[in-house]
Amino acid sequence: MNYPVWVTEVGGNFYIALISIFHVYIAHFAIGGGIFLVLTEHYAYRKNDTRLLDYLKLHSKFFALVTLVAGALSGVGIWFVVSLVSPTGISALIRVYVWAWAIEWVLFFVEIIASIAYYSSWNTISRKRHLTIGWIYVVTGILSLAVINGIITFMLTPGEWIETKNITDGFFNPTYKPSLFLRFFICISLAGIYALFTTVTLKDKETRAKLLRYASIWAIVGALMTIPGFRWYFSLLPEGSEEMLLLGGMPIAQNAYDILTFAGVLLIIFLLVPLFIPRKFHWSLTILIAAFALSVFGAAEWIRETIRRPYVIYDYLYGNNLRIDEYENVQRKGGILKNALWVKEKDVLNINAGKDIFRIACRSCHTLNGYNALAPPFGKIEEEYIYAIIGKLKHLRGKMPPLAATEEEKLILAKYLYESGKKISQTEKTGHEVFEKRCTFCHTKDKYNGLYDSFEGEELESIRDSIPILDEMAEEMVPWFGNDDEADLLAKYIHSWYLEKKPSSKKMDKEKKIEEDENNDDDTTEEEESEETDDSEDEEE
Amino acid sequence: MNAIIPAPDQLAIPGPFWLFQVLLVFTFLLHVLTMNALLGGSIIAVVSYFRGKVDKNHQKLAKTIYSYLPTVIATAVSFGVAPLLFVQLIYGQFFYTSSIILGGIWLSVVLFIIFAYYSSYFMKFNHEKKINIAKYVSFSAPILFLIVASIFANNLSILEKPLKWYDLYFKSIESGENPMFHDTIIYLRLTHVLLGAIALTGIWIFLIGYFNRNKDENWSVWAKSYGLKIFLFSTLLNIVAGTLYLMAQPREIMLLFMGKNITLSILFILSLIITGFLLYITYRRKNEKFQKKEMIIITSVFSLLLLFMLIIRHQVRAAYLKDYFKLEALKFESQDGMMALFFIFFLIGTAVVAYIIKTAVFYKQKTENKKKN
Ligand code: HEC
Ligand code: HEC
Repeated sequence: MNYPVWVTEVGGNFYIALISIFHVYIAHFAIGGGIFLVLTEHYAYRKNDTRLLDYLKLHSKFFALVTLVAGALSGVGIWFVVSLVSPTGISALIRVYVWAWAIEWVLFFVEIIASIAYYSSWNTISRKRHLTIGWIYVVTGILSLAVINGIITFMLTPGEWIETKNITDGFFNPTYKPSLFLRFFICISLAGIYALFTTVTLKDKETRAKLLRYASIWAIVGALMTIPGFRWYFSLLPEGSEEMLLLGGMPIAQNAYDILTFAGVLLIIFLLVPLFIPRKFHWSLTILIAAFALSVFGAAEWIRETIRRPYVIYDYLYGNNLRIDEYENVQRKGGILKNALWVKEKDVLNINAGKDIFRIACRSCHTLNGYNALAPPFGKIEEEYIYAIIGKLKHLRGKMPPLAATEEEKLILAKYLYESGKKISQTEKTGHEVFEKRCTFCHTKDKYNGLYDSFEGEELESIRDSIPILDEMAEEMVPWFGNDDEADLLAKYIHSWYLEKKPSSKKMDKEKKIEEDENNDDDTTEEEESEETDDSEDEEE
Repeated sequence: MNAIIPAPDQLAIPGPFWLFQVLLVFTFLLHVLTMNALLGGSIIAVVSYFRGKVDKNHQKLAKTIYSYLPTVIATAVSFGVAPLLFVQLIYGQFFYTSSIILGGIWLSVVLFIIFAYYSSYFMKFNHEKKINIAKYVSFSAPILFLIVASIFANNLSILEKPLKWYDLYFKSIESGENPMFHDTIIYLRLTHVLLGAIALTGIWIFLIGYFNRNKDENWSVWAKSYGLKIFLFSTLLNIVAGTLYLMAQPREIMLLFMGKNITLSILFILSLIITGFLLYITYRRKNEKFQKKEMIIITSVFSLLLLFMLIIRHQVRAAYLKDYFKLEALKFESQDGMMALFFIFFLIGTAVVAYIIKTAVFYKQKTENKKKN
């Protein structure tokens, strides 16, 4: 409302996620890798192991080149991109925490100087001084994590701050500790994983094997410790997060969660190779392992970004730069076009007004054709249906801020979205397609807002009869806009659910898998098994 | 048409306004020192890199600059973070708007710096080797930094002109019109900055020469005079560029320099006098040996000039935003504990950095000297 909206067809949130993932992957290494270097340096001096020292010299240069440049700048990059997507959010973070940011800046500067000095002074200064510089790096690194962690967790769980506006309340918020714990072990794990990169290049077979084993211990211990870390962290997330992660309340978050668990298991399995058979370790495995680690920790970051929806700062600011307390004002004072500053078309009957409204109310999270796109799902459905959906945004899968628009504004927004929709004129051939077109905006089969139980035990006839009058069954429902053919197909599809065996565990079964099960596909069972193993592993911890 | 200015954040600014202004100018000074060195340094390094194929002096200069450049970039980046923080704190409603108008272009700054940074590391490790691609890579840092500089110049120019925002924004999102260089004055601004960067690099080279006087006498004399020559010529050109830049300003702004704003006018006149003085002594003495005293005079007077320029710049921005920036609209609520904590960290941090530099640089020189003897 206050700021212009950055228009990008790729998607602002996509850029945020991409840069954050890239950044955390390096920034955690920047901290863990420092610890790794200094502790290993101590060890090498004690054993007077010159081969190990040579390795450390090599690794510290690699470390500096990765963290100083890509690490530091991608951090700046997050800041840049967030200020484009959520200027109000970043402004609030700076107003509240400017001194913390300034402290972070001091730490950042010391870290950089220490890192440059560390990698370039192996041969020129005494061992003792070199270690001192190393320890300075480690301490400032951990301190900087402790500072930034307070600000990041604040966005998701601001805790008491909402009431008190007290900086300590906001900083040491409910997820501060678990997040710090979790991130610390991500650092340790990544330290080991990155060490594989330099270790595989070593010529001497014995040193190589010894170091591979050593690095993999760091990686595995770190990775295993993140499991209780994740659990602790997840247990303190805002209400409703679990639905989004496990039950498909928000498809994007659920996908990220699946990637997290799946790649996590693979990561640990593959890390066993350098641990137990280091001599057989081929360099290409490093790339695989690094890719799994990127998927795990990247997915974790993606989850953190998405389950915060619809907020940028929980309970304070919505994702479209509208403060919660502003929302009612806008509603009362005549809607979006009247209240927003950056409006081109003031005439609510002109289709361009729809464009303005879309930009102001939805663009911060959606695009037309890029990330979280609206043209594809809206291209398939009727204008009236779009209008009905817009009126029920809070019931959709994927949390959305309430829409502060007037009725006229909703109409023109629907019209605009309808006309921008990707028109696909093919008629739906299967009931599943009808289901996806008309129902999965808000329902799943048997998870989030699942329909399995609602129709259980009903005959095909009665399912078919209820479809056109669904909006009478529940007030929150949208009316039926489909034709008779679609209704027939949908009814048959829903009825077919009860012809299969009843899903054993709601969490495990995805619609797709059930369909594949029918073909008795071997791969699926294997996949399910591996998912089960990872769950049981979770429980062991 | 009236300007559209987003309302400033309702949350309080946690400290006194003057303090943040001082921090802004101070940290920006640090940034400008290092940023100019990397911009000018990367340009002069390329020149010396190519001339170095036939000229030993240039070869050594290229080597020296390339060995420093990555560290200079690292410091410039970290010094840049602080002013960016403080400018967002007090001028957020302007800064975010101008950044959003630039949009993806603004974001690309980060990518350009990463590439420039890696390419300067590449040059550091490879400039002496006979590899062909070094020839091409050598151009990337200066070109990328120039692009970055122009994006910054554009952002800060847009920031100062709220009246243009509406058109720039809607033209760029609707017809994809590029908001860069919407006004020719930005070219002048960029030229002024660029020549300043080269002048600063001249002083830097002079200092490098000075501090190497005991190691390599001949080269030191050459470097000192080469540095001052660079300073002299770029500053002469910059007087022209600066005058043009001043004349291209809107009338109200120009009048401020002509006596309407007393501090601004005094600073302006002082800057002119200082520049004249610097030009005079560098011209008179460019081929002679320098005493420590003169070295100190040149550097400190030059730093003073830079500081004046920054204060002028800050004042001009304030003048541009006079009608739009309302101090009364900001809330202040000091966080004294946090403020104290920051200064403690700042002091300790400075001491630690001093310790590291002392150990890594000076201790290293000692061992090097020992090895030689
Ligand atoms: C705070 C961010 C945010 C805002 C603002 C927002 N949305 Fe969403 N929206 C989401 C998320 C997150 C999803 C879930 C995406 C997913 O998980 O696949 C979603 C999903 C949707 C879906 C379902 C898409 C599908 O493919 O099933 C529709 C339709 C939708 N939004 C419409 C809108 C409209 C219309 C607006 C503007 C009035 C809007 N949204 C504003 C975040 C937002
Ligand atoms: C705009 C979102 C939305 C869409 C689209 C939608 N529904 Fe619903 N539906 C809801 C909400 C919200 C409820 C109420 C859920 C509750 O009471 O827990 C509901 C309730 C129902 C119920 C009653 C559930 C019960 O057990 O009380 C049925 C049956 C149902 N929907 C079927 C459908 C079918 C079939 C479709 C596709 C043709 C569909 N819905 C499309 C939002 C939607």
